[in-house]
Amino acid sequence: MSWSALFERAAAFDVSVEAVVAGLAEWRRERSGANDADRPRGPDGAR
Amino acid sequence: MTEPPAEPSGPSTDPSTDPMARVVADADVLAADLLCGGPARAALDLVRAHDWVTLVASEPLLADAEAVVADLADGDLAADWRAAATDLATLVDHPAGDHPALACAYRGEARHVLSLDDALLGARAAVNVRARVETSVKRPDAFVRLFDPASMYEVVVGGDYPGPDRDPRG
Repeated sequence: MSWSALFERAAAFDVSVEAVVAGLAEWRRERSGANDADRPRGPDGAR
Repeated sequence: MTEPPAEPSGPSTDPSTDPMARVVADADVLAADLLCGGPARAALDLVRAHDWVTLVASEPLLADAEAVVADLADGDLAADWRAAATDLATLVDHPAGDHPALACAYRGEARHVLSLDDALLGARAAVNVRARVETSVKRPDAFVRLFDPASMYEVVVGGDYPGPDRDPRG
């Protein structure tokens, strides 16, 4: 499927950038646990 | 941790391995490209329009974006987006606990990370990131302003810039 077709389908949903940012933050919090989700972790595992 | 291979210098015989031409888009930018357009789409159009620019990603990174798209739009669109993104990107492996975008930059030797996450974009975060990964985290609009394909082509590929070599929406 072309990118144009994907963008056309996506346009049917009224999604803001703020909703995307909040959605990802919530998803990653749920996935990794609320205790340490607020700080990014580097590729060597250190914070 | 296993170190990535040595960085090539000067125009590369394989431009796709030059870190300057390797870009990671965090899951928020990937989802915003699809769902919102704007600067995120302009930034990824630059990647899609040039065969010598490589989008680096990982399965966890794409899974994050797919989950956001499924939540905010629908699962069918998310699955079709995942297939297209997998075709476009060069995938790397990284430990499950790492931040996907930073780990992709490290493992995939990408000099550019695009993000909308203030936790990655702040000055303090920049210092922490640069201490571990030779990359720069930028908002998509900053990447669009700074990434000049013509001058980048001279450095990465060599010769005169021939213009876009792919349809970014194809």
